[in-house]
Amino acid sequence: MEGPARRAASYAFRLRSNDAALVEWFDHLVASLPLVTDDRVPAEWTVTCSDDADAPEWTIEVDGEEYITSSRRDDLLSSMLTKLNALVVDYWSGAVCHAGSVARDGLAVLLPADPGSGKTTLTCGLVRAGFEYVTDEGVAFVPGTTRIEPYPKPLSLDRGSWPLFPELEPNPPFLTPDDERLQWQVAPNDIRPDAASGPCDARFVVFPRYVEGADTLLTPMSRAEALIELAKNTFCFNEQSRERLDQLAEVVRACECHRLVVGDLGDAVTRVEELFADE
Amino acid sequence: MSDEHQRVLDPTSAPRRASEVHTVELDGEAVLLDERANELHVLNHTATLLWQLYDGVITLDELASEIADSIGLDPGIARADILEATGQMARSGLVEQCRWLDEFEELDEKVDP
Repeated sequence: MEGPARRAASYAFRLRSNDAALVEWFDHLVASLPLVTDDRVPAEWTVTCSDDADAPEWTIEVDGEEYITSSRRDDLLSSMLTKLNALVVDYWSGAVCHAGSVARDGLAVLLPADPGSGKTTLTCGLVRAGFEYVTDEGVAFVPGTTRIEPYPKPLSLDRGSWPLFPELEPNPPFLTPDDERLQWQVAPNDIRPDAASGPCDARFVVFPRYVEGADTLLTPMSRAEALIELAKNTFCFNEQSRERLDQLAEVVRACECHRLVVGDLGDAVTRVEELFADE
Repeated sequence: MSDEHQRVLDPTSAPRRASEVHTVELDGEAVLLDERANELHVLNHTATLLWQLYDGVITLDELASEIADSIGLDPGIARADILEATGQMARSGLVEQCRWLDEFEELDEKVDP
């Protein structure tokens, strides 16, 4: 079975597999990524399920090169999405920041943060509250601009966030018991229909940090501080540090910059909504 | 702490910005990228003003006088602040052409003949 060719930022790919259920579920998850409509040739992702019915294994190859083998389909899916993230960064010519992002009326808020800071949780909460989904992982800037190319991948929700979004528990045809799962992969359109944003411009940079039991607090920060933090959260910054710094500086100049201590998801969503109130 | 951290700069030094340091300025604060180590530094408003004046010609003493005159600051205080700030940047490799005073050299002797 073969899925349609889709585009993740500038990286085009298509999934083939002898496991039809996997292809269907994967395409459900990535349905917010646009279909390839130009003449670019998509990379071929091939997942092969072994014949051993008692202990099946799935092996994925990307353009003929073996990437990983797994004995569980949901682990395989997580690995596939990790690989996709890496390829998006590799193929994009501009800066890609490790950040969640949502948008409203074409203006985006970036949520750069280290893993475990709660950026996907906040992103998911904002999309549920009506914001358009840009990404939960990689904000890709069009070189020389503050324009963001959306990368609306599935949201990877860690176990600690599951009680906040009980309605989003995935129900793939190959469900693994919860106690063995590390992440839920959530299709953006399962949060709400047509959740994905189009291209948008950076307007706010907010650095979230989850602190259990803390009061939720939004505090302004200088653009210089924000630039340093954004650079630290930019993939492969050191490979083109001067060009990347100049591009990120243009982004930060166009943005208001804040830190956000998140103690409560609802309060954090409200703080971000208030930022947009004057726009 | 090494000797270099305890010593002070010769105020007759005329520092210049290291050529490998790329500068971006945002709202009067400089972000410096040291491309040799891909290290980032942020300067506050005062340090940014100094940074802009390091041209390899004007000495730290002259800088201190100029800044003290322009903002009405006590020259001695201006000089001490500038030596400290420039010393930090020199230790980080951000500025070049700085000379450190020898351990037993009297700073005052370098200034008022």
